Formats: sequence, structure tokens, C-alpha cells
Amino acid sequence: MSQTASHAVGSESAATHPLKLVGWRAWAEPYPEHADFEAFLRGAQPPIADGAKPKAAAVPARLRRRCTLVSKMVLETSLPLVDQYGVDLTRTNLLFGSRNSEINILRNLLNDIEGGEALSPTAFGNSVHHTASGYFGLVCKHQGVSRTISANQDTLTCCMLETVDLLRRDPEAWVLMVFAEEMPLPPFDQMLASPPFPFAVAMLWRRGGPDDPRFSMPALGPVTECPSPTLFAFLSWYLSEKRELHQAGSFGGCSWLR
Amino acid sequence: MANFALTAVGMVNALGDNLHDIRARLFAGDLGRMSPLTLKVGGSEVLVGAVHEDLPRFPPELEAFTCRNNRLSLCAYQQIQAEVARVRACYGANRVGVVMGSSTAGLDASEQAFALWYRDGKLPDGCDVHLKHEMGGVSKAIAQLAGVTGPAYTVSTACSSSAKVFASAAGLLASGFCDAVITGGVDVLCHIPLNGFNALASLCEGHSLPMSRNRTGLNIGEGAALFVMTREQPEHGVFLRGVGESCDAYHMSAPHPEGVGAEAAMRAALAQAGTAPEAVHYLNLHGTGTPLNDAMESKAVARVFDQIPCSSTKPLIGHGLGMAGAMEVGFCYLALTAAGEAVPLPPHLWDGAVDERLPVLPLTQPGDCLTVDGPVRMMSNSFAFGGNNCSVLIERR
Repeated sequence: MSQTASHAVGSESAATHPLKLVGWRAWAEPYPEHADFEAFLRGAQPPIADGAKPKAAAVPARLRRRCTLVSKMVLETSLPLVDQYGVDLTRTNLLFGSRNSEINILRNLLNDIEGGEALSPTAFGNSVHHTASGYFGLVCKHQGVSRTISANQDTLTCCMLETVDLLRRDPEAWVLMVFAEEMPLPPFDQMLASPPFPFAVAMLWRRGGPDDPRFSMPALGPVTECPSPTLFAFLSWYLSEKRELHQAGSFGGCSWLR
Repeated sequence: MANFALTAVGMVNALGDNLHDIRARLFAGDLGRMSPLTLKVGGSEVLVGAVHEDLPRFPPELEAFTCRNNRLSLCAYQQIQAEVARVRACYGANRVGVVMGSSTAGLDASEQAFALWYRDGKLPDGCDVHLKHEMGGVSKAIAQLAGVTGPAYTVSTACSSSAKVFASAAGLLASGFCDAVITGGVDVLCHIPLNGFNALASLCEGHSLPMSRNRTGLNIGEGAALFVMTREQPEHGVFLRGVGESCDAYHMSAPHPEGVGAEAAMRAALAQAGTAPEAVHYLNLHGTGTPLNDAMESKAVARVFDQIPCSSTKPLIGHGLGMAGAMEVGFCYLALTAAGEAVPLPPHLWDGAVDERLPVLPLTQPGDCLTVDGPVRMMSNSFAFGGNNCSVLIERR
């Protein structure tokens, strides 16, 4: 078990879980280069790209043609990470976190239905919440655990809970965690929480050691409300020198310590 | 090794809105609950597993969650609320989590809002589908109903969604984040899956015929199944013993033709339970009635098991998509908790036309029962788009 001693909060106690963020990679429409996205998270003002699209160049063309935008963003970030760190895919668990995932594929299917048009079988197949993880499996021949998690503003926290358990079950395993959101088209832009811009972030996790950040749920200190997506606040903290991050959330928030 | 008690279940589906009716109609093989529905696109008529009963309404303070999908959840939740109150009192609200599986979430509400917008160019006043449409809202609704404040999230991997929740819920218990978890699945009949599966030529006009040489496709159904899972270890009861997950890595909407991923999921569930195949007494098949699924599943089952009694319960309630996994584990639970010495087996209802191209499976008939000394074990299979597979093994002792 990868747990250390705990702080006491009120009548509760919470274990902390050391987790190693082996590497991460981001793509965002205004910041298609990872370095620019990282600069954005550090509070700098990198140049904003105009109308960037994920290339997903490592994806075979016959598959890429069928991929959704969300899938391309996921593949654009996850494939280089898997390649860079020589990930053993036979011991890799994939967690895809998204609040609205393929919302625009769904929206366009609804448009077809209201227009009395037959649905495209490919579009319907691409409309499920875990479409992007399916394409990842196809491209990488990944045959292990693959879950798609959605928890409103708590999606990152819940993916971390899953990560703690997956690494408890197999301390030598890898967890590839990928988040992606696109901008909902009308009328869903009026009805759903929109991200600041289309983005995907892939993170590669392993069991941590004494020098790695420790995760706790619930939070171990006074929490701060973070704008959605809370993932950005976590990454900003990770890139900073700050010792602690206590994020608000629906179930007591979570803490990161180092 | 998983070993968590399933201390309560609530269900609603085409067979009824309470366990008494569902149990009676399940083991009697009552096909009469399926009903016709006209597709919005093309106008053809198909059979669906719609819930016939009036569904309960949310209390005014939770009105924002109201949609048919969440009302199905509410109906199932009301059947387990006494047990939820017990674990909440015993462990504290913050130690009880919620993990739900769904593929539609409140898509029924989104479809209605979209239709108005399409027609009028504007949304109705006060339209807010945020809490209904988002996948996470499915679990949030249950958490609010139950008054619990532990982790609440939704797993959405299409037709394996609510099988996978058993792995996630067990993980919350094993890792110490929760002492009890409300877990299960819910999906609602709505236009996108109905017309989408029609576009894939996967719907059949009459009752689905899993494993038959005459099978042409599936029926779709709706419903909800909720469990309470705890770390408690009562001497007798029903326990989660293993969950196996795999991916085909083969095709986005077709399974691997030899069922390689399906076999891996079943073997992984057995391995997690530390159980030999011959120690499992019944298998609830994914058994959609589509040519491809049943072909690959029968091959995979024949490689893993030696003549295990099995059935598909989808002709009775339709394919519940994101709720199918939990519902079919629920059917196993009903079998394991039936009164009397003998354990009734859900019947496989079909036309009896053996597909000579496939391995012959021992399909159950109405009235079939098991008599077993010691623990009784049952497995349920769920296979989804993207080749996302999950098998769940439960045990009565």
C-alpha cells in the first residue's frame, strides 16, 4: 500500500498517496505547442494560435479520417507520451476523463434526427462518451483496463481516486490519464459548462516514492475554489514551487502536498 | 481478490418497478412486457423494453435533476433507501460514495430541449439540462437523493458502463476512500441510440433471438439497477468476487470475431476471484442477438467454460446499453437470493434454432434450477463499442 501517515481534519483522517507524474503533454486550440500551453499555465502570455487543429499525425490515415476532434486531441497528446516514456502497454490502465466528451457529435446527430435524416453509422459509433479511448486502443493495440470517468467539476479528483486504486492493485503498473473537452455547439453552449477552449491533456502516472507529490481526498487544509477545469489549477501548481494545493470539490475537496 | 458484500438491490425495467414483479416475470420468462415503438427517423416499428409504470417524482428541492433517466434512478433508489440510510448512519455521509454507469445520462431531456430549439430557434425559458445531460449528473442525482457526500462519479463506456462500476466501487472500498458505495447503472430510451442502432442495421423488428441461426439484431430497453456495496463481511449474503476488464483493440463498433477480448475479460474476473471456471454455476450472456456479438461470445465462452448453464435475458427487457451490466448482475442477484433450496436460473428465450456454425452452449430453459452445496457463483458479461469488455463474478455464501 502506498500510504503514509495522515493529518487529522476534524474527526476525519485521510491517507496521503504518493504518485509520480512521469510526464505530461497538452494540446489546446490556442496553444497547440506543449511549451506554449505550459507557459500559459505558468501565467505567461504565449502567442495565441489561430484556428489550430490537432494533426494526430501518428494515427494511420484510414483511422484518422474517422476520428472525432476529441479523439484527435486525445491521440495528439497521448501517443507521444507513450512513445517518449517507453510505456509497457500490457501494464497500462487508461483513464479518460471528460465532462461532455463527444457533445458535438451528439448535437449533430440530434440535428439529423430533427431534420428527418438517416443517421450516419460512423457518427453514431463515434457518439459514445469513450470514443477517444476506443481509438487509443485501436491505434496502440491497448487491451488492458480502459475506463471513462465523468464527475462534473470533480472529474480530475475522481480519476485520481481510480489511479490510487489501480496502482495499489499493481504497483508496477502505469496509468495513462487523458482529459479532453471541446466547445459545445449551439444550443448546448447555452446549456452546458464550456471549457475556456478546446484542449486535451495526457498525464502518465506511476506509483510514487517519498519525493513525489502526495494526493489526498478529502482535502487536508483550507480549500480554494478553482475555476473549471480544475486540471489547469493542478498543473499550474505542479509547475510551481508551491508546497501545497487544496482544491475545493463536491466531497471535501482534495489536497496535493510535497 | 475482491470480496465485498452486496447488501441491497433496487431495479426497474420492462418487467416491473419492484423486485417482486421483476423476479416473477424474469423466471417465468414473460416476453409480453416488450412493446412497440415507432422510430423517429424512417418511421419503422421496433420492439423496445420500455418501463410501463409511472415513475416517481423528485422532491421539489431536487427538481433540477428531473428527467426520465433520473426518475428511473429514483425508482431503483427508493428500493434501497433503507439500506442507504443504514450505511449512512453507520459510517457517515462522507464515507458513502456513488459510482454509476450510463451511456445516455439525461439525453432524453437534451433531446426535448434540442427539438424545441430546432423548431423555434430558441430554448424554452429557464431551460437547464446541465445537471441532467452531463454524465456526472447521473451520480450527483443519486448522491443528492441519498444525502451522501463521498466521491460520486459516472463511468461511461457504452454497454459495459455499469459492469465496470463494480470495479470502480470495489476500488473505492479497497483503497479506503469509502466504507459503502451506491453503485449501478441507468439508461433511458431516447432517439439517438434507437435511430443510431437502426442506422447500424442492428435492430430487429420482433423479439431478439440470441444465439439463434435466425438472429438479426437487438431490442433496446431502459431501466435502472442500483446496489449497495460495503466492506462488511456478513456470514451469509451475496458478494462481489471478481471483475475482469479488457479491450479488443480491433474495431470501433464490431467485436473481435474470435472473442479474444471477451475471453480475456472472463478469465480476468475468474483470476481476481481466485475461482476456477468449473466453480462458476451460471453465466448471464451479453447475448444481444446480433450476428457478430453472439458468434464471438459463444466461441469465447466455449473456450473458457466447459458446459456452463447460460442465458441471455435481453429478450425480456431489451438491451439496456449503459445499464445492462448492472441489471444483469441484478438478475444473478435475484437468482442467488430466491427463496428455497434450489437456485432458479433466468431462462434463455429464443426460437430453438441452433446455429450450427457456433459452439453449442447449454442454454437454460424456463424452470431450470441449480442445487449446489456451498457457495453459488454467477458471472455476467458486458461488451461495448470500442471493444470495451467487462465480466463480473458474484457469489452467494
